[in-house]
Amino acid sequence: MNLLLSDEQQMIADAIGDVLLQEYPLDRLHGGSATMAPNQWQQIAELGWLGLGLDDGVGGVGYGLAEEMLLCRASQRHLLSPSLLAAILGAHVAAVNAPEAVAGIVAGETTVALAVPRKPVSLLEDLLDVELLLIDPENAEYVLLWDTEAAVMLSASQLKQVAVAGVDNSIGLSVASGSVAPFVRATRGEADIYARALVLLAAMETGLAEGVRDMAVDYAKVREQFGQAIGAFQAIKHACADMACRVEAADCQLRMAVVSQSSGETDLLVQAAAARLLAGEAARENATRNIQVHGAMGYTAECNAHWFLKRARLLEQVSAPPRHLQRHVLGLPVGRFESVG
Amino acid sequence: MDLKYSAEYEAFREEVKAFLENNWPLKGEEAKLRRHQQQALFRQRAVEVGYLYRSVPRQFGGSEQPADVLKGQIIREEFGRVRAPVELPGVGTAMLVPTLLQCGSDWQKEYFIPKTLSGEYLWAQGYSEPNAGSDLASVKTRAELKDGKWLINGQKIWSTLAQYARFMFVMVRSEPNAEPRHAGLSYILVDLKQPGVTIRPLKQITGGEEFCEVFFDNAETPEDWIVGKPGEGWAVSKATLSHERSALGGASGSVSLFEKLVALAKSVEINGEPAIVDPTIRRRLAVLDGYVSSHLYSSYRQLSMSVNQQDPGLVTSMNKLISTNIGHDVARLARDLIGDDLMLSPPQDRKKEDGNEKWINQFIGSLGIAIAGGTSNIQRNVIAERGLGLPRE
Ligand SMILES: Cc1cc2nc3c(=O)[nH]c(=O)nc-3n(C[C@H](O)[C@H](O)[C@H](O)COP(=O)(O)OP(=O)(O)OC[C@H]3O[C@@H](n4cnc5c(N)ncnc54)[C@H](O)[C@@H]3O)c2cc1C
Repeated sequence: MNLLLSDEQQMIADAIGDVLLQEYPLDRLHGGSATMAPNQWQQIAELGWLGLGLDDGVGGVGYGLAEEMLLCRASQRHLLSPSLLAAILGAHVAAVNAPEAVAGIVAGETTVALAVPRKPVSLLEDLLDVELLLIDPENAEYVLLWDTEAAVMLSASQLKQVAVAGVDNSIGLSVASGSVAPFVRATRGEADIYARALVLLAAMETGLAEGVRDMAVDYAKVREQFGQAIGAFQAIKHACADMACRVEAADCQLRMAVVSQSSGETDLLVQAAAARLLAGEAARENATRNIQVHGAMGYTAECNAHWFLKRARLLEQVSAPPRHLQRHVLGLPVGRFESVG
Repeated sequence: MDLKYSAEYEAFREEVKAFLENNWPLKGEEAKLRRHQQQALFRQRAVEVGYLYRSVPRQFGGSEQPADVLKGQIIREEFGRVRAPVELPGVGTAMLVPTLLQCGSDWQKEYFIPKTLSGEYLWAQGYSEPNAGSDLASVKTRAELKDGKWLINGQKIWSTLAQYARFMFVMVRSEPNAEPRHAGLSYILVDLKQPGVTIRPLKQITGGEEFCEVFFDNAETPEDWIVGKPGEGWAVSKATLSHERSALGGASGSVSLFEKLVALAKSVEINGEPAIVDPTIRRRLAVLDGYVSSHLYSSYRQLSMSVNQQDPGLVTSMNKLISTNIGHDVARLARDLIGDDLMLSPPQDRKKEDGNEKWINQFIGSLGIAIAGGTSNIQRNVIAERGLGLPRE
């Protein structure tokens, strides 16, 4: 078993980090938004990001979940739109039953938005009667949702949409409803989108927690009160150390989930759910503590701390709220100590 | 120790009820007045009969009643039941008035208190500066006495609602060479409506603009607008608040917050049953209930100490920390109860809150409370160092 990145994976992670650092500074969110413009989609498509983990036979780059995980993790240090995840997963869904749609998604020409059901719906029905919250729906052609049994993409134009104000004001939100036949569906047997989404959401939350940790530490080094850097006070020092521990725990569990998937273990769902529980906690707690570390400055819109907090609150509602995750973790046979890798 | 509602108190409750029956809502022609006029009229009558501003002398617009936590509690309950106007919120009534009662001169009390209680004079608090937050003693804003006036230069920040305020009570450095540093501070009152003052609202993470930067550029204030003597500012700002509202305000807030949470737990479902039936939710609510009640009792104790001239200093810090923690716990539990409504933004006008989104506001607000008025870390330091005698860091 090896939880370390290979040299190639490390290079990919570094390359992704460099692009994000240059092109997606957090300050872009002031007076702007995290919604990506067509040329931005094109740029990351050219870098291969949208088909990173998709087989080359179906139009992808041919890496796996590990590389997708690295991308998603880095993306939330810079608070990229969650539609990145929708595109990655959407391409997997299309690859199963609508191969003609893959190219457009991977090329960044067809955008997909994440959808969160507001009332229960079984995705195996022919006609879906849905009421959804769409995350960053601007320009989206498809909306993606999934449950444990299946994942579907619906045509956005067939839904009635009303824009609403969302807690994460870096992106738009809308309430959408309709009775529609899915554009494409992949059942659990065809592609395990549910587990993949859990892993990638955990990656996003872990990345967010990491970005927040660094922001807090940087501030604790420069802000002075009582004649010294506030990082010299144990209350602040310990808060930063706790942030680092949350990231470490989430990151290890995340890697374990990736290893479980790549080696075809039966405990993938448990590992993935556990990763999400830890990552969600890390994202929320770190984002909250960071505001405290910044004092009143952290309570202003001018400071970037609030973007992280709001994104964490948004992400936690995607896919599986904590209650359901607990069920996976506690209710399934745990095979984590069996022969992994 | 004595807490039971004796016959005397039950009679008092009937009295309050009867008063409310006759006086709120207003009737006849008076019901046609604008809302704030109706409220002002009602408050005036409630003061006359002794129900509001109970610890403020009659001559300054209060109702001058002997301190009595139970009566205070009964008034809050009954006024709350019929949504009658209560004492005005804000730093003017909660901080400035008690400070003036304790440390102000006679003319200051006469001039400022009545109009502050009636809401005509709104106040802002000017303590924090960009580089003086937790370390308040490092305040740099200068006040110099020249030709019978204080000349003020410097900058304050995070002043809540200063854009609407008429006056500010400001912590300034008047004795630049005094040692230790806090011996050089003074507490002065400043009219904000003058050319030397510039106010710039700052946007908060809620989207609202509830605090401001305030710049003083040769702003002026009369020599006798200082509370206490030059160099006594630190002590004046720490003056004991033997004031019913300031002692109890936080706790009754916790109580009503908790009541809303219980209502929420009854209205949402977990696994097809009301959430309040769920054993884990019940357990968490029960623990929280304990903290909320003890917070209320602790505030009774704080008030009793003040009334008996005992210094409740440490209890005050503990109460702030406890109420902050209650706010966080309520937010956490609400989050687990609500689900995807948490993705929706709450309306900025708090009066229009209706759906579950309002809990987002409560959550974000609880983060501000942990910073405003001295951060939780600083409260812990005070408890540990001044209260428990532990050495400083
Ligand atoms: C909503 C809101 C309303 C406010 N309203 C007003 C107002 O009306 N008037 C006014 O004057 N001020 C107001 N304030 C300002 C408030 O009093 C200050 O924010 C507070 O005192 C902290 O100062 P700071 O923001 O500069 O943080 P800093 O002092 O820079 O603190 C940053 C972090 O370091 C920690 N820290 C600092 N020193 C220590 C130490 N010795 N030990 C351990 N930890 C430490 C703090 O706990 C915090 O986590 C308001 C603030 C908020 C958030």
